[in-house]
Amino acid sequence: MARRYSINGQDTNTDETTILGLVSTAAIRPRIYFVSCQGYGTPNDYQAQYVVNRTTTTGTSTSVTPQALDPGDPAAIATAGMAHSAEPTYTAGAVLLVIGRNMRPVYQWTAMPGREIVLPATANNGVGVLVKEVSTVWSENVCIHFEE
Amino acid sequence: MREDGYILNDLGNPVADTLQCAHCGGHFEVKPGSGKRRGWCLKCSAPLCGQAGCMVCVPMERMLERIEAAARK
Repeated sequence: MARRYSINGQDTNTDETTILGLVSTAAIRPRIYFVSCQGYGTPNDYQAQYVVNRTTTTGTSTSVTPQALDPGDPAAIATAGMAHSAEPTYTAGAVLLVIGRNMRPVYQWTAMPGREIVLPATANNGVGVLVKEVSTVWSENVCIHFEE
Repeated sequence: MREDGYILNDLGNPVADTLQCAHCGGHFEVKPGSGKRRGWCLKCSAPLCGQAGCMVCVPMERMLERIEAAARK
């Protein structure tokens, strides 16, 4: 049975910036089965749109350590980063999930078993949660659960 | 058609289903009447997301293998 991990990232959802990224290696194909987004701060009716898009480089970010959902599992092979100062390179036309956000509610997406978003077993390839549009910025928390 | 994923609201109730594209592996929401153009692959016998790159039949597994092979070169 695959080992499951959680990564969490928080950043201001500025247009065309990455909030959270997951990066694969040549040794594993991570499979994303859960994505959630929750606004942090005074609730307002602000809107935003994010995309989960494939990346081919890691960019520069604050490192996030994947947490094993089963404490008995070893450290994850995949790596993650949040609040990117240098954006990763996004593959054109490789949008894997479009997330429409209103700041107030929590957004949760779950994949059925066997229908996860799969990352290739290639170093520095991965996915990023990229802000595409925002009316008024707020601080967003993004959580991704994946298995490998 | 059975859903491949679902979107939940604050109470944990499903508010929308998603289908998975057979070629890119991405998920998309099914919104009847939205005007979004999706597709169906006759070879894979599975839905497509409608992105231009997915209109040629390259199944997701093959797409991943091509990425991995290119990196090994």
